[in-house]
Amino acid sequence: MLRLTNAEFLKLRTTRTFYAFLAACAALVLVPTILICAFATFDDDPIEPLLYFIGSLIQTFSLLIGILAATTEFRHGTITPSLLVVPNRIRLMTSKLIAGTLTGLAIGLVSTVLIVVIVAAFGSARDFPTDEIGRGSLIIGGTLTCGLFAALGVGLGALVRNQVGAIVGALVYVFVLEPLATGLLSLSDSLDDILPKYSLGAVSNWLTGVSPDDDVLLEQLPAGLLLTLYAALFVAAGMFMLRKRDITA
Amino acid sequence: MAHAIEVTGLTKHFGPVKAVDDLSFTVDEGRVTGFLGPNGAGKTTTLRMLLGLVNPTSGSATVHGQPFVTLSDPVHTVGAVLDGGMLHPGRTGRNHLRTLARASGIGDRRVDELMELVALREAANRRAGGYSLGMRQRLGLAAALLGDPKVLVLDEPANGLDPQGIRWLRDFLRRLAGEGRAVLVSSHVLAEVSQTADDVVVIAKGRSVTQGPLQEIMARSGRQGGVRVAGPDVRKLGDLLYADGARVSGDAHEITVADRTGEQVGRVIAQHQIVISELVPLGGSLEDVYFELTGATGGPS
Repeated sequence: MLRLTNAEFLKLRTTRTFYAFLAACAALVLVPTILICAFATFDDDPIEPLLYFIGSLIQTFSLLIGILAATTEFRHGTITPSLLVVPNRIRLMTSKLIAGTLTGLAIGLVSTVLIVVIVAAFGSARDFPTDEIGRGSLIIGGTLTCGLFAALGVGLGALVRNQVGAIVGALVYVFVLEPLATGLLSLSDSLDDILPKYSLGAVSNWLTGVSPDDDVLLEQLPAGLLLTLYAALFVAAGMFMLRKRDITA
Repeated sequence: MAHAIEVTGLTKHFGPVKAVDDLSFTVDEGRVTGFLGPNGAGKTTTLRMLLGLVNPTSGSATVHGQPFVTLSDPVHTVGAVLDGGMLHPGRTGRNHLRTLARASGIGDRRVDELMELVALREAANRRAGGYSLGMRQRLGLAAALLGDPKVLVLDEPANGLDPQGIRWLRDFLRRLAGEGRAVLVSSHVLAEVSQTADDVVVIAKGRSVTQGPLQEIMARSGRQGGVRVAGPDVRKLGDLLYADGARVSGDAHEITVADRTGEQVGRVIAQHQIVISELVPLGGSLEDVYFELTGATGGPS
């Protein structure tokens, strides 16, 4: 499995799209964090709102990295030579899952640490309040969230196969459908906690340890287990479909 | 001992369409087997079922007695090129090969050897999106040879090759068979197959219409062809062949031998040191046999 995972990393590293994604991630983390920390005024530690807004974008990028890891081979037909070398489809997809998840974890770790370091540096320079306690759990939460989003992306990619369809579908869900559904459900008193508690966005926020308000509907551990379950469901569905499907191109 | 490739009762339905219908054939080591059929006959689907990419509706296809997907060391057992070798356009040719090599535990040295072998060393670090079809075919062939396999499965490998490339491919396939490998090659370039293959399997509408050694099929179809020989001594040659039971016609300068191959006539010429100016194989091509067996007319399908 190690050599298959190495091969998957090589596939990611030998295309420009991957580097474009990493550059976009770096820009998304550095530019707003530095600008906000440099010019905004804060009464409280800004780390949570920064992780809430920027973190959700980085998680989405991790999701897209996972989708790319699974669908690029279908898009360009390289799934055929790959399966001629590794005929066991579950082994091949598992290696993509490992490579995608590790990449997501790395993106999450680097992004969260960068945000924390920039906030701490500007906090001491501009003398705004920063709470050093709890940073560890934010970093762990942010890292795991990105890793699990990437895993979910691999599962979604294996399930859908069509790269454009999977990416557009994921973006529409994350940025349109889920916020819309959350807004609509909040109109009902009996349902208004369901999506804020269990939706993909909400669970990822609970796992990261950030919240738009002071309520904590889900602790980090159950949130992590729930997000793992979501990712596992997509991965299982993707692998099941991959085993059954004919590879005709 | 198991055949290198054994296809038994292979059937595939795509919804209401029966793409392959109860197809059976074998391929042995040391032989080049041509897999022929019109477009849509089911050749690619058959090869994809053999390689575990398409799930058969019924029947089986094995390599050395085992389904491809259960082979413990697929890269060193079977090498295959399907659909011209699919590539990521943004990845260099060398990196494409490296990704496959790394998954198989094969080092970069072998990758560079193969890039040299298929004459792509100069283009190794160019993005594959800029490769011509012939270059893609050759890169696909390099991928098939990564593990130095005993069985090769090639789907239309001559597509996109220039005449020089086609000659190279023909010699290459013969050399691989000469090394004891089994080569299954699908093609619609009948002239190529007739010059390369030892055996042929002809299919139409998913069913086998004939299979066996090429010479036997040509003879069975009654299209042995014969040869035309010209030269100052051909009367003597005609007499010798006639005495040997051949059907000979012609005059003092040119004769036609209806039921002997060019090789058979050539041996008589060499044995008796007869001077000739021309020896031309006549009619009776694989193409004629193919059209007759598949019911194709030669028009676009």
